[in-house]
Amino acid sequence: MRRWALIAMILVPLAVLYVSLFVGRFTVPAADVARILASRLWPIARDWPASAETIVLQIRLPRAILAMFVGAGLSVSGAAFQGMFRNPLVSPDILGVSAASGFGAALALLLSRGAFALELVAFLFGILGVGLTYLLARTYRSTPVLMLVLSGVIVAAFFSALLSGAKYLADPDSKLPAITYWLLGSLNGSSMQTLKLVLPPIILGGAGLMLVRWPLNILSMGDEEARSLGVSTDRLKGIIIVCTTLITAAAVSVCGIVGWVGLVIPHLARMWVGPDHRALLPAACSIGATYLLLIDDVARTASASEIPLGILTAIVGAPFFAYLLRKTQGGWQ
Amino acid sequence: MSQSLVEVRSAGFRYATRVIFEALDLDVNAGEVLTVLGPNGCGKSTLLRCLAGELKLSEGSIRIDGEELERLDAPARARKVAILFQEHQPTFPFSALDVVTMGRTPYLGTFGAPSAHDRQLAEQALEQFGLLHLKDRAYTALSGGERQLVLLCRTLVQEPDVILLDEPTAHLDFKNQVRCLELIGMLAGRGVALVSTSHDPNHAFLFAGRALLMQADRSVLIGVPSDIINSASLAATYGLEVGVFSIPRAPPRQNLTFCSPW
Amino acid sequence: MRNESLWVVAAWLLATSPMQTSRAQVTREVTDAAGRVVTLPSTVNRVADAWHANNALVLMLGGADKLVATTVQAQRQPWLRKLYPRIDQVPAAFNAAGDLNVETLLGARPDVILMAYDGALPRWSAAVEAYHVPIVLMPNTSLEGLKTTARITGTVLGPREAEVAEDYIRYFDANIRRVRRETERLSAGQRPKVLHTSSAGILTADGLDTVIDDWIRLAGGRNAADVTGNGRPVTLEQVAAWDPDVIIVGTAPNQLSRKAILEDPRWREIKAVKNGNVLVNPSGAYLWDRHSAEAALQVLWAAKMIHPELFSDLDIKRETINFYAKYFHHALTDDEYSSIVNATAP
Repeated sequence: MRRWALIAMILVPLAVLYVSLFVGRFTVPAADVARILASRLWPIARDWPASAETIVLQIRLPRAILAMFVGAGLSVSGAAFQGMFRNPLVSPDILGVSAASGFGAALALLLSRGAFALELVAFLFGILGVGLTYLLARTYRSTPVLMLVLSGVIVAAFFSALLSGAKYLADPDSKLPAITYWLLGSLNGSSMQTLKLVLPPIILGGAGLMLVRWPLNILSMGDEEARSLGVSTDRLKGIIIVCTTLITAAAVSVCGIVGWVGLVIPHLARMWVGPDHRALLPAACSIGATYLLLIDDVARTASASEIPLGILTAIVGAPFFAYLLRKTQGGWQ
Repeated sequence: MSQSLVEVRSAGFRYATRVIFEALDLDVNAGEVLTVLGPNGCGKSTLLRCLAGELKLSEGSIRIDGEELERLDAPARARKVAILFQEHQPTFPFSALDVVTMGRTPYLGTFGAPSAHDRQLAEQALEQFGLLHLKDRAYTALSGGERQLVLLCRTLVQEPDVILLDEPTAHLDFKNQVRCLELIGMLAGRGVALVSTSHDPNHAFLFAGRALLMQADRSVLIGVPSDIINSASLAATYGLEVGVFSIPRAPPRQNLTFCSPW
Repeated sequence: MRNESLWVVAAWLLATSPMQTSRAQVTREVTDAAGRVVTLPSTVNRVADAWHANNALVLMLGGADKLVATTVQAQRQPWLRKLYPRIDQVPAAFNAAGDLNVETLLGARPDVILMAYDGALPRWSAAVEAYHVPIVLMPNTSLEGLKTTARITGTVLGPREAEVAEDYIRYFDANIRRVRRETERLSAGQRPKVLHTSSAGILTADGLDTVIDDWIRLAGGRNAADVTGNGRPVTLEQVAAWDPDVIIVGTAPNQLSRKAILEDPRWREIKAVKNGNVLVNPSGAYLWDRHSAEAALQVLWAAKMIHPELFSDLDIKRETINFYAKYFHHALTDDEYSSIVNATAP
C-alpha cells in the first residue's frame, strides 16, 4: 500500500477526533478545550470551570472514541462478510445479530434493570442470535453460505417478531418510547465505563479479522477453490463469524441499531485501495471511524434534541449507495 | 516396482444409492498425463473431485506420493494436489498477479501472508507462460481464455505433485485451446503427474500417458490411448459411430492419430 | 382484519337492531374537544374508557362501576388496582398503544367511549361508529385541558358525577390560584430552571407545549429544556448546557433513575446534582405529572419543591390524604402516602 495512503488512514481519524472535542451544545472556549486535553499529558494550572472539564473529558471524549470504534468495527465486519459471502449487498446484520440484540435491549428496558444490564443483555442476545443462525445452517459436513444467509433471515425475523411483542407490552408513556429510540440508534449512553465494557470485544474481534486477511482473500474466490488451495473453509468461516459477531454485538449493545455503515463503507474502502483484504480491512476501519464520528458530531450538535444515529446514517448512506450502484453499473470496478 | 505418484486402489463413489464408479484401480506417474474421457454426467468431475480430496470416497483409497489423501490436512493436501475447476465465478477484481500469488497459500500457515519471495515466484510463473503483460490487469476484466491461463500459472506456483484439470479447454477459443494444451505438455515435462478430463478424445493422443474411458454402463477402460481408443470403445463410450484415423509422419515423429465421427 | 371486523359489526347490528331503536329515543348532546357534537343516551350506564389516565378520573368522579371496558395500561397501575380492585375484571379492550379489540368492545356493549384527543380521530373510530357507539374526545395537552376533561367526563357519566366533577374543578382551581398568587410575581431570574426527564433507558426531556411545561411554569419555575413536546431525546451535553437547578424524574423506574443520576460522574457538575435537587415525581392512581386527575395535587407538590420558601405552610401530605379521602374514599396510611410520593408500588 502506498505510503501516503497508510499515513492518511491513521492521521485523518485522529484529526477528526481532535476536532470533534471542540464541538458540542455546551459552549467551551476552544482554548480551554485545548488546555484541558493538554492537562492530561503535563501539569497545567486549572483555570477553567470543572463543568467544562467534565464535558470534554467525561462526555465528549468517551463518546467520540466510541463512535470511532463502532464505526470502524461495523465497517470491518461488513467488509469481512462481503468477502466471505462474495456478495456486495451483505451487511453485518445478515446473521441476525441486530434483531436479536434489539430484542435483548427491549427486554432489558421492559424489566427496568439499568444501563449496564441493558448493554450486557443486548450483547448476549446478539451472540445468541448468531449462534442460533449458525446451528440452523450447519449441514452434514459444512456451513454453506446460502444456508447461513437463509438461517440469518429466519432468526432475524423471529427476533423481530419477539421485539414487536415486547413493544406491545411496553408502557406507552415511558418504556415504548425508550425502546423505539434505542432501536433508532444513539451514542447517548457513552461514558468511560461503557468504553471499558465495549472496547475489548471490538478490539478482540478486530484483531482476529486482521489476522486472517490473506485467507479471506482466498475465501472470496469461492469455497471449493479456497479448499483446493489448502484453506480450511469451515474453520475460517467460524473465525470470521465469531469475530464479526463480537464486534457487532458489542457495537449494537452500546449504540442501538445503526445501519448503512457496514454496508456502504466497505465499498468506499474497496474503491480506494482495491479488493485485497490486507489493505481493505484497515482502510474500512479508518474510513468507518471517521464517518461515524462525523455523523455523531452532527447527531449531537445540530439541534437541542438529539437526532438518532440510525436516521442520519440511512439518510446519508442510502442515497450514496444508490450513487455507487449507478456508477459501477452493478459491477465491482 | 517404484511407487506411482498417484495410486488409486479399489476406489468407489456413490451418491446415496447411485453408483458413480466402483472398484477403480489406476496409477499415474510423474510426467504422465491421464486423460479421462466419457459422456456428460458419467462422473468425470466426480472422479476428479475425489482425487482432489474435495469428495470422500465411499470405498477404497487414494495415495499421492505414498501418502493417503484422506489423512492429509487441507494445506498438506494442497501442497500435493492442485485442481483447475471448470466453472469460475470471480467476484472481486484482484489483479492477475494477486490471483497467481494465491497459489502460494498452502505454504503460508493459517495466519500467514505472502512474502516478497512469493510474489516473485508468481511473477516468474506468469513470465514463463508468456502472461507477464497481464499481471496488473483485473482478473475479472480478462477474457475466459486469459483467465484459464492465469489459473494454470497458479497451479504452477502451488508446486504440487499432481495437477487435476477439469475440461481445461472448454470455453476457450481455438488459439487458446492449443496454447492450453501446450502448457499442459510443458507441465508434464517438469515431472508433474496430470489428470485431465476432456470432452474431446483427441486430447488423449497429444500427451505421453494413458487414457481412461468411463462408459455408459459404468465400466471403465484404462490403457495406452492407441490400444484402447478405437471405434468400438468410442461407440461404447459415446454411443456414436466414430472413426479413428492415423496419419504417418516421418520418423522419429510418431503417427498423428485423431478421431472424428462418421 | 378490517374486513373481518366489519362483518362482525354487521352481524351485531342485525342482531341488536331492536335495542338500537329503543335506545335512540331519549338523548342529549355533548360537544367534545374535537368540536364534534356527540349524541348520547340520556342515562349512561356503560362506559368504555380508552384513555389510560382517565380511568382514574372516572373512579374519582364516582363512576367506576360504570366501566365496562378499559385499557391494559390502566389495569396495570398498582394504585388504581388497590383503590378499585374490580378493575381487574373489567375487560381490557384497548391495548397499551391505544389500539382496539373490536370484539371485546362489542361484547361489553358500551353506551359511550371516552378517548383522549391528540389532533386526529383514532384509527378505529370508523369501525366503532358503524354501530352507533358514540365517541367523546377530550383534551390532554394542558392544565386547562385537564379541567375540561374532568367536566366532559362528568357530564358524560351523569348528573351525580358531573357534580363531583365541578367540585373537583373548583378544588383544582383553588390550588392553581393558591400557587399562582405566590408565583406570578416572580421574575425570570427568580424562577429556577427545571428539567423534567424520564430516563427509562434513554435520556429524554419534556419540553414546551406540554402539561408538564404548564405546571412547571405555574409552580414558579422555568422549563430548562427548550425543545417542544414530550419525551424528546437529548444528549447529556445538552442537559449540561441547560444546567437545570432542579431535576424531576417522572415515570418508572424513578428511584433507579434518580440514583443513577446522583451517582454518575458525568452528571456531577450540573447544578441540580450539586445541590442534591434531584426529585422523583409522585405517582398514585396515575402518574401525577402526566395529565392525570391528581394534577390538582401535582401543582401543589411542584410548587413546594421548586419554591419551598414561598410555600412553607403547604402540607402536601395533608392535602394528599384529604384528596384521597374525599375523591377516592380511601384513608391513606403513612406508608401508603410514602409509596405514592416516592413513586413506588403500594
